[in-house]
Amino acid sequence: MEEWIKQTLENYVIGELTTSLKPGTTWPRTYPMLYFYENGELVVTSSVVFSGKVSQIKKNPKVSLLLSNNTASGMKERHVVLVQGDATVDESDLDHGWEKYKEAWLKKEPLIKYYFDMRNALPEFWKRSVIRIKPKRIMAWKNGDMSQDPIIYEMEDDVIAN
Amino acid sequence: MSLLTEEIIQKLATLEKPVLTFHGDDGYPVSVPVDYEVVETSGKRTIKITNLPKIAQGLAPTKKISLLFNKVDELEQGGYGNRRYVQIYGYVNNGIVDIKEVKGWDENELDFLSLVQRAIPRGKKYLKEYNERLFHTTLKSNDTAKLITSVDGIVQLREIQYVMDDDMNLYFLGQFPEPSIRQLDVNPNVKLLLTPPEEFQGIREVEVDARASFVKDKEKKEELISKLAEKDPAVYTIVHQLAQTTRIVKLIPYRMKYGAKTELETHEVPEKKPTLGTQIKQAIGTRMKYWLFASRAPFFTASIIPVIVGSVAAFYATGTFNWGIFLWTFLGIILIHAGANIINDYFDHTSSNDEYNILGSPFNGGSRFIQSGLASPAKILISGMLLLLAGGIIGLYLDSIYPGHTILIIGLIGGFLAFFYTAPPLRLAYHGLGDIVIAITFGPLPVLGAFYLQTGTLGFELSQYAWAASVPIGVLVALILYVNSFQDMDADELSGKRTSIVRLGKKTASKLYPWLLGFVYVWIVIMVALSVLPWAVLLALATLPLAIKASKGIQNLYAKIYDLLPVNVTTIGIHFLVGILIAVGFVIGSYV
Repeated sequence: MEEWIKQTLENYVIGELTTSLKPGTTWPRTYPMLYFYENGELVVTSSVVFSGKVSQIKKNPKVSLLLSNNTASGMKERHVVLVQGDATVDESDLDHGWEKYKEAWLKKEPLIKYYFDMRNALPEFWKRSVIRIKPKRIMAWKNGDMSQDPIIYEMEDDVIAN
Repeated sequence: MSLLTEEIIQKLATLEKPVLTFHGDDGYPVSVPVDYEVVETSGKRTIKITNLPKIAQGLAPTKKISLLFNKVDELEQGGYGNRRYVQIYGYVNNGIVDIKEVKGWDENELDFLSLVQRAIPRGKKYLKEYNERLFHTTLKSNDTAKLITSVDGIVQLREIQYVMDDDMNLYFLGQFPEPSIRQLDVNPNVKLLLTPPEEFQGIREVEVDARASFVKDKEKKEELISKLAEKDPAVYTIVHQLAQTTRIVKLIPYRMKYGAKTELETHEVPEKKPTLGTQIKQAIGTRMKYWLFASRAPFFTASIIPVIVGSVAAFYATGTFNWGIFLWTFLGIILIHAGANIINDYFDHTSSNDEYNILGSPFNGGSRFIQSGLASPAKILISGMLLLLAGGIIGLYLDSIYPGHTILIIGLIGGFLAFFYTAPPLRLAYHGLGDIVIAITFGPLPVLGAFYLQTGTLGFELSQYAWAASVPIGVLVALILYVNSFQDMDADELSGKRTSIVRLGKKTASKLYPWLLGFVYVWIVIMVALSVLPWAVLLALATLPLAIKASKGIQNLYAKIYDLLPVNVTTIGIHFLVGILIAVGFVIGSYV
């Protein structure tokens, strides 16, 4: 995989996650999300308070995450990377399952510390599902030049991890 | 009217360029950043996508799309903040967006906390569904659980294997008198600990509150035994060999609690939760049951019968009957009997007699309250002493009715025998004197005491009726103990209690039983023949068929502890019926 794609996956702070109940019959729902890149997978966490996306994924795991906004990433280039994949929802521990991403989260969004400290006052918000997206296809546009055909990676194997 | 107001247009201008999203042919969403301008078509302002990327070209005008305008600000301290977005839903035809819905959020207009608070009801609903799923799947995916029962702060833990019905009720097999099964009799509120399925692997344990009851319906029991046997074929053997003591317990789960580490979530099934009425009824019912079981109330007939016989013998002798004295006597003897039973349990615990006695029957091993964890030894001792004290106070009142302290002397003899029946240093029952002590304390002593309280005299001319009637009552009550001792024999031997059965052996003792029983009837006939007892007392002979049945039963079944149980029941029945019929005989004799 091209180095700039890897850097984009690793350094971008937010992406746009899209879920839908029934492709073609319901509107695609797109959520700006903070994400984590971990072992070739993309991870987002979602509070039970904003559980729409989780409910949709449980019914239709086909999702996409678009990385097109380089704000706060430290990268000057504005590459565009679209990851399409299958999402799984891990709710085995709503209270603590997401905590392994706490440090990375604080790094990406320092302001969240204020809400961490209010955990007891916002118990529902801090009950979070962990959504893991296993990429099936990656499309990438260097420098965001959308007039060009994207570089496409079909994830038949674990190319992304390498 | 256009959904794209001036205000929204101005906001869009402050945001990043939009992300167009639609579904690809393979069902995966496709999102691409696009450029746009605001245009007016058919008098409505809308969005025109000006650089549709190749991947989005050829988008059918019927395809549902969304446009997300998003923006975050980079912060000096690192990271981002000031989140805001606008999302548009609609269709695209030649780059023109047919807008169907617009929504969005701006952190500067509605702070994050308020946004969360608005969404909390939805979060609660989601959690409720999550908890329901956890509750149902945990109960369904398991077939074993840890069962926690408790009475008065004494907690029992055991593992159960269960089956579940369509209504999410659980059933398991238990043996009386296992401590947890005994505790259910008194306190049906239990807790179950279960491991959730892998889907919830982060939750180590789920705690379920449930109400227990015993399944009594025979058909239902058989159906459940078959289901339980599917999980464990040994169930058939257990049920076959221990039919008398097997219980099937139904558990109605109504609340679940769990916490991964510190947080505690609760999920309730309101329709299964006990109502206030049920809780009150249960609280009163369980307390009553507790003390009735602890004091072995079914055996109170042993003291009630002599009081009735003695009082009615007095009526026969004098033609008068004092109901007030009768009722005080009745209450006093019950309190003393209850106290004696409970004290007996304490000392049979300290001698380990009841610990050795593991047979599950109402006739053996006392109330088993200490062994079953229903009460601490201290509570048993104190309760027994308080009951004896209360009975003693009534005794003192009754003693004050006539001069001479006859009742006090009778009471002291009875109290002495009752206390030292099992208490050291005398431990009369342990030295083979149990039958005689019981015969005296539940025969002549209460019969004559009750007679005295009605008449104020024990002069033989009057009291001969009571003396004569007290003998069969005393012998029969001793026979109740005698039969019970067959099942207790092993435990009695181990704890050094030299009962008649231990000394004679079961076979010889079983041969003696019909002779002792026969003596009762012979005594009655002789006393009637001597005109000491009225002829109507011969009514007691109506129990002869029962006596014959019990005598035959004991000959055949003396070695089979559970099969012998009907003989225990019959002996108690004979004592009760003979006592009542003697009393009826006295009443008839008074009028005829």
